[in-house]
Amino acid sequence: MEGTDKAVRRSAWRRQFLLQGCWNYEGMQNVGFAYSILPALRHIYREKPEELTKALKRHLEYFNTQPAMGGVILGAALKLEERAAAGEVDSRDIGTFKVGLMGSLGAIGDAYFWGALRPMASVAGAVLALVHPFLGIAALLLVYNLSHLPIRWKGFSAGIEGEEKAVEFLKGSGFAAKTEDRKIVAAILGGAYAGAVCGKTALMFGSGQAAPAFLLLAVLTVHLLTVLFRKAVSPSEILLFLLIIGTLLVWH
Amino acid sequence: MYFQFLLAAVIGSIAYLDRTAAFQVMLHRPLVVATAMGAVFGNVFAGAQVGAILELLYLARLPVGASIPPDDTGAAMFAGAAAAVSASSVGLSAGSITAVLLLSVPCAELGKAADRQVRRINGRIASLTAESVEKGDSHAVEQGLLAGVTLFALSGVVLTLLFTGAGVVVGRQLLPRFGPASKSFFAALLPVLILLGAASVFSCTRIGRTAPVFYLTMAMVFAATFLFRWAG
Amino acid sequence: MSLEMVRVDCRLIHGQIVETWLPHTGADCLLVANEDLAGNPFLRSVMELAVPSSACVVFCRLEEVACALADIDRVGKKVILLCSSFADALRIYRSGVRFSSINIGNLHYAAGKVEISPSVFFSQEDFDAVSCFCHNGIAVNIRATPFDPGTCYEPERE
Repeated sequence: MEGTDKAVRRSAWRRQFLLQGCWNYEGMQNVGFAYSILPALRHIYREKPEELTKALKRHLEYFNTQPAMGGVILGAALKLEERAAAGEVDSRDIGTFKVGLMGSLGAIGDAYFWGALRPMASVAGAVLALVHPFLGIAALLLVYNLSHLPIRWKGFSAGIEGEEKAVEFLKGSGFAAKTEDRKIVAAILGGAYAGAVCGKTALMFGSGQAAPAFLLLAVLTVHLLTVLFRKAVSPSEILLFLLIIGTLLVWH
Repeated sequence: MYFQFLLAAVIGSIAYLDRTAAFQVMLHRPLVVATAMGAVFGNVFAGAQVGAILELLYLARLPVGASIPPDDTGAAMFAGAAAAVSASSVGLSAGSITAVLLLSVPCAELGKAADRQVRRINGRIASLTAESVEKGDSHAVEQGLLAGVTLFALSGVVLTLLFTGAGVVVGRQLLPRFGPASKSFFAALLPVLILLGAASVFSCTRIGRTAPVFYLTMAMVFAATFLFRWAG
Repeated sequence: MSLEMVRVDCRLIHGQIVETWLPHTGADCLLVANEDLAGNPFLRSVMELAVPSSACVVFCRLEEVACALADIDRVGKKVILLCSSFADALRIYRSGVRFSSINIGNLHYAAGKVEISPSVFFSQEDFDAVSCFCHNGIAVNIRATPFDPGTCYEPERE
């Protein structure tokens, strides 16, 4: 069995950007995954329509992971399909592999992308937007995507080399360390942002003697809000509460 | 005005697609969306100002699995349009910024509910797709995905028109009615919103070492602001 | 007792656990009770990558849960117990591990299953297991993340 050719791989790479295109509660990213792997399946099973249907049904099973990490599994599943068609592996192993990996990759991806990289990019954007809006937007998009797009590409290329390479990629990229670093940078930027804005506000009220009290109040507010977030109070609820306070103040 | 809403709808559909269905390259972030809406409705800087604050507010809520966070893209459409419109008529005070941001909460919650509905309808598309595939039609997968993407884009357009429309109404009708006195009450809440954003960043980046780092930087930058003022 | 939460989740460790439940409960250890994983070092090694350095992860077979919990208790860690199905949870309960409530995160859809919440679908066996838990006075909470309001599941009375 010859490997799938370049055009097929390229089309799988392009299609994985639509992994969540038909996100639904029953199968989650199932249609998106089947869509991404379809060109490769058509190539592998080009003379066997029944096999193609069987393979597609396999990939329409429940699937969900962090979208940027989906490429790793897609690449590896593509390789497994090739080997299954050649009779090297059991086709049932493909489903087991996907299900086994999607939770872990979801956790790695959620922690890195949503828990570390996105806050870092967001707060960098918010800080620099104080200088100029376009600088802020450029910073946000660049900080995020200069990490996001290479990881997608490397993950997909590693996956397509086979499952061992995929795991090697996951271990070699040091996601845990990267996640911690990004989180710390985001926390520093967040602290700087809060400090700068509070400083500006305190200066508007004038006297320097009140400054330490003002800072203490700000720190306590942040602490209180953090506790509320940890107790799973939604930002919406806090904002609505503030809206009610504001309206009541205006009313009187 | 029609042209402006048309432009908003195009930008809105792209932003909403980026949010879930496609790419996730952060074109849907409030800073980007609010600035764009500010540009469409006549004031880039006003849009960016509210966008920068809104950017951080909902960060603590992650899109993990089936859990859908509040729609900060929609909130940014509303806030960007309202801020831009009121900036070009009565000017944008701190009070107006706060009022706009607080009034954007219903948009965020409505957008979330709409998102949930779209995903439910997608469930029907997915099951139809599976049925057709069973009959041997592999093109059904492409059609199903296209249908899902179209649905996300359409709901994005509708939400955009709704939120920017509401934003324009609030910016034109509601905000000019309040005098400086009532605005100052709202202005007093603005620092709380900023701190809420910072707390949102802090709580989603929380690991053992970040707490001292966060508070220390906050105190140092705070002190530095005063030093700069005294020095120059 | 240091058992913070018992959770049934077909995906075991994923983003909801690592990014929302660990900070929310303050737990610093994940105990994954699963027969398949216990015999699959490859998947275990990937799953270990998914856990932040502030928490540890322990894998064990279903009947070893009590033993593993005692070990974790000795080092004073707060633990979240994860299993992938109701059948597994019931086996853990019958092996003598006691808990007062059980959290249902995700049980994915399959033909013939009944929707309980957007991310939870019950099969007939699941219904039987749930009523078994309820008879023993264990609260069954359906809640994917702490941000969800959560519903307490009550089996219909015959």
